[in-house]
Amino acid sequence: MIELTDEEKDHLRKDLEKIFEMTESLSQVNTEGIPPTSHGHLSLEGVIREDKIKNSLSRETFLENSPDHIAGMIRVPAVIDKEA
Amino acid sequence: MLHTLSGKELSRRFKNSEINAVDIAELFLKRIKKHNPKLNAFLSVFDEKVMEKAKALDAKRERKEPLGKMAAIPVGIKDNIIYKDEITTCGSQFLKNFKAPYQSTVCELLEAEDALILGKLNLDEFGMGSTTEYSSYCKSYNPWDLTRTPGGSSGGASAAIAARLCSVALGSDTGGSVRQPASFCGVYGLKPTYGRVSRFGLVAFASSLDQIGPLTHHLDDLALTMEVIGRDCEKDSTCFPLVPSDYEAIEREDLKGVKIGIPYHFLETLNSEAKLQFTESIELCQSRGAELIEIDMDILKHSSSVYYLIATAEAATNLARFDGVRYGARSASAETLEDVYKLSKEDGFGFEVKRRILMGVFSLSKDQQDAYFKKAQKVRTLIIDKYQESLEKCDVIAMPTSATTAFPLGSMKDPVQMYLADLYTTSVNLSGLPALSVPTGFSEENLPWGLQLIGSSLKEPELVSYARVLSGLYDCDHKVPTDFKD
Repeated sequence: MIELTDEEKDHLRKDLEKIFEMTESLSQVNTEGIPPTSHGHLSLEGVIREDKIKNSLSRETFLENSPDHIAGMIRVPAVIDKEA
Repeated sequence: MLHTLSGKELSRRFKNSEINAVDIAELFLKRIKKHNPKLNAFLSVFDEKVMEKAKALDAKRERKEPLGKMAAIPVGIKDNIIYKDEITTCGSQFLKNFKAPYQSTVCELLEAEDALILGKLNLDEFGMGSTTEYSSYCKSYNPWDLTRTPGGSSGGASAAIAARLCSVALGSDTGGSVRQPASFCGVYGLKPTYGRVSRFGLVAFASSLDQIGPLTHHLDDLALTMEVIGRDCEKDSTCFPLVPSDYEAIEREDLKGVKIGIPYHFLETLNSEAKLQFTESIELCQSRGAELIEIDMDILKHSSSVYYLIATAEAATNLARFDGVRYGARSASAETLEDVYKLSKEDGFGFEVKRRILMGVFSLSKDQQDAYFKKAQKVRTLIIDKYQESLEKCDVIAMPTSATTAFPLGSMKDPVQMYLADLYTTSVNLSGLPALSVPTGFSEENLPWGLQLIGSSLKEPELVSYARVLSGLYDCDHKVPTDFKD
């Protein structure tokens, strides 16, 4: 989810039109029967490691970067209305 | 003039007790103080930590303990690579206070070899840009001409290396972000094979394309850095389970027997100056014994389109995690949880990042996916196949790194013009191959040019061996911009 100002929306609409126009040339390429590529490796399978328990970050360390926390938990605005 | 020496030579002198680590640290910290205000290469410098580390290195030498391969070599890190306990901004306001709670694999490896990590280098926000003008903190300047960009997105890295503010810089290359700035600043820049260097601790932009790579003013330092960082990592499942290659193993005095593939037809659109420059450099290769072979790489004319569709789709997915809940800047005006998600991105991200998120989201959307994202993935396969076919006919492919020298700051206003400027670099990321930008002299305006050498998977040592021959001919290792000699 992302909020945009009206000015940004106008500007982006124009830019994206131009950018997608640039990508139109791809429609000329015949890709019938060509499989898609979704990874960066040419030859290798993913590397799997042994499933071992290791220390993870402490709660205190993790919370240091959170914008708002209380009693060891991250705080966000109320999700459920009090009255409901 | 210690700062103009290679990092390797500095380290050798340190190990031989000809110079102390403290002197090296002081020298480079002083240079950063003096020159960084003109360049904005560094976003942060760890003065105290560096001096402490240097003192510890001197003491270690005193005790006759073994010293690491990169002992006392000054290094800068692009600010999208995490360095434990220090701020990692990614050039974004969203992460202006983000203190890294863990260590990236590359920094761990550098420190294990006793390198001196001096500070963090400027970049386009999250690596999205070609000029460093999209950093939300400051733009960086090219040491060869301060009215021009040092390139991007690793523009802080290329400026710092060209101005000799450090010997080695680590950048990241998603579509050319190490090679293009290296070319614009007259230094070496390597995009390693995808999976050669661990991405653990690199803030993801486009996960199937991102790769960390070194920028250096001496080729020896590039090879040395790869011997340290180019290895297996159990924290990155896409990292090859390989020990580092030996970059000294290939001895080559000339290019006899080396077949260089040139995609002449694809390069026809180059302007006359770029064509002349490129032709001169490949003729020089020929004069050193290389055989030039014509290859057909016309499919690459689509690489910018394929790249921007895939990179933005992956970026939109990766950047979804910046929700203002667990870390990063939460919008002060958010009243509901939904506001937190929406407004934190609105406030924290710059315009280029928003443009790319929207592009990615659109090309991934249900109705558009087949026409855009999936189509791009299929053309990506064709690009990979074409590279493989060509690399069966030759040892290396040569292309310009960029069609131009460094552009004037403020000149890249149109996004399509900016995206098309990456025409010669993006296909390398799409195909996972290694590519090295080698400085090859200067334009009439005294701006550096770069030649890009693209090799088969894991052939970085070969690329370095070809570059060694070129570096002997061009002598770019010793050319320092006038205002940064002292």
